[in-house]
Amino acid sequence: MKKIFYSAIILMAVSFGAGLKAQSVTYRVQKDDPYDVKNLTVAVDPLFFDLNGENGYAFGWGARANWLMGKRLDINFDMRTGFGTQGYNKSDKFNNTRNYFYTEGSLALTLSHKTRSNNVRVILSQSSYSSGGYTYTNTKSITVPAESRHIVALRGGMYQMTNSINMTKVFDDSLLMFTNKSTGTEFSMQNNSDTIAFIPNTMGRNGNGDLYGGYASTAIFAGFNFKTIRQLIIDVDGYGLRSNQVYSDFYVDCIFSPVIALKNYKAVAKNGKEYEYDLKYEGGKRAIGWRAGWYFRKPKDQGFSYRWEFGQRPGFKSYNPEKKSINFRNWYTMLTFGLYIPLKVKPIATED
Amino acid sequence: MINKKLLIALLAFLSVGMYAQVGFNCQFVPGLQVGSVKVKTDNTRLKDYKFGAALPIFMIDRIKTKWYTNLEMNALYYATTQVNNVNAGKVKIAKTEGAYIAGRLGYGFGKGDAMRVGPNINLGWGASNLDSSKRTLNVPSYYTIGGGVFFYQKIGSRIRAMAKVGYEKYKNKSANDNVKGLSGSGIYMEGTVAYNVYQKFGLAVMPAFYSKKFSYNYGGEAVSTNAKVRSLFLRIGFVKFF
Repeated sequence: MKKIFYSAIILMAVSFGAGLKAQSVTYRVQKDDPYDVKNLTVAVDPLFFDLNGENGYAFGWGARANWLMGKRLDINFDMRTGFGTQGYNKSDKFNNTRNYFYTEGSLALTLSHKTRSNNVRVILSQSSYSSGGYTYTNTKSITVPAESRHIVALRGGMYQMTNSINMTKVFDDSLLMFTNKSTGTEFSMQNNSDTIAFIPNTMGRNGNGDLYGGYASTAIFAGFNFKTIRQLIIDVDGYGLRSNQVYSDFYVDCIFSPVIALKNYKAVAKNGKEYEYDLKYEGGKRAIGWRAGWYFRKPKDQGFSYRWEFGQRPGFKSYNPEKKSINFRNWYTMLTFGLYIPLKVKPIATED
Repeated sequence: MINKKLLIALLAFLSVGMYAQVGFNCQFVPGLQVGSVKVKTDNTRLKDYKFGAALPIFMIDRIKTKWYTNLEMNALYYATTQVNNVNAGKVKIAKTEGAYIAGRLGYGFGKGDAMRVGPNINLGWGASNLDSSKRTLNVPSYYTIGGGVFFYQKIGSRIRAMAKVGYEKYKNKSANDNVKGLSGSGIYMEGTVAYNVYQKFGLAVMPAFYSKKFSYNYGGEAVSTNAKVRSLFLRIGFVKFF
């Protein structure tokens, strides 16, 4: 604690010291135009990570497209599929689990489109050094007035996703019901009156002995999208070209999923016969969810894009509901990394 | 078993950015490759084996103004893409070959915008399937250090090309559970031809040849194993011209 306190004091002293020594710099604006953007991006996401309570994790690749049509419309497409999905048993002859797959389409209608002049930070130089186990970063920056476009849009769309689900952990009660589609027998996973041979997951990192299944969800969503576009490039004496370029989307959605279904389960019963079971969770479903996310790229240059998203997907209610009002098994966070190609496609917005 | 460190390393290096007269930026992110890898050993338990090249790759190879930089994660990316298949026992042999993470930094001499030539240093962490492993993230890995030279040439307005040759040393006391006391060396030859298709963008084709020699102890045997790994690849990726 003392170490942190002293470090803070030293940092403050260094900051004041740097402030006292601050010198004026001369710069020339090379570009300050948030309208000179490429409005269509097509991206390949070579990698995404989705950490969630339903099966633990999934990672894989995806593809995306975003088209900002003039000042009024914004169209999005997003697809991801897993090449590493916890619990997904590709070699299971009964095919009881599902791989991670997600596809989404959405449309956004602009409610507000304003261009404002803000003071923005432009970093001139950065250097780091380590001392006493801590790393200190010295940053030189200036604030420069720049034009920024701020767009607020109402968005809505639809998604479809599949994933594997850890039935042992997500449904840790006697309410996960199996109905034999041939005989009509109904029983819970815990009492297993058909004495079927459940197939615990014993592969790789998934070798935890838990029982995995699969689920599918179809949902519609609506929310707000807050877009910020800025393209400031300055030539600073002694430093060269420096910039503050942003094309970011922050979005918040409410999700409604009328369809959340567990995949039918196939197994061999004690009598040696193979049966297919219809799965239903008597504890109920939670059809409402939400999410928020940020997506970053550059307004004009080709490069890499990043996204962070988190939220609570519609899913199943938590077991023992009198003790838990929120099912944390429905929570997730996701990171994507992509290579995007920006293109200028008509119609494109121009400054009024 | 998914190697946590490898996944963290992959995540961390995803944050490597890119900024934009001379040169090009070949982005195999992801890229595709075809080819083959031959492994010859003097170990009677391992014998000789051959496998096709891993299809997906993850590599950035660029030269801008004076500086040449390369970031390669081909082995790690391929290994990661096969996790579902490895878990299901559907991988007959791990095609992990190349770098979990490796970089090159070089400086090019030359005036004008037509040509650059210069030296580069190499540092990294690589992997080769020296024990016929079926688990893509568990093949023998080793530290690499070396250097090379590169040559860049602009050909007309639409084509830019590059050639690279180099030498590297390999070492790791514990390469994996089976392979200990690994040491070795190798050479590489890479060529890149980039063709401008639209605006500043185009396609890059990279033929590459790697020859590596290793000496290691396999499975606790008293006699050390000698192995030669020869790889021939043809890579295709996206390129941006500066």
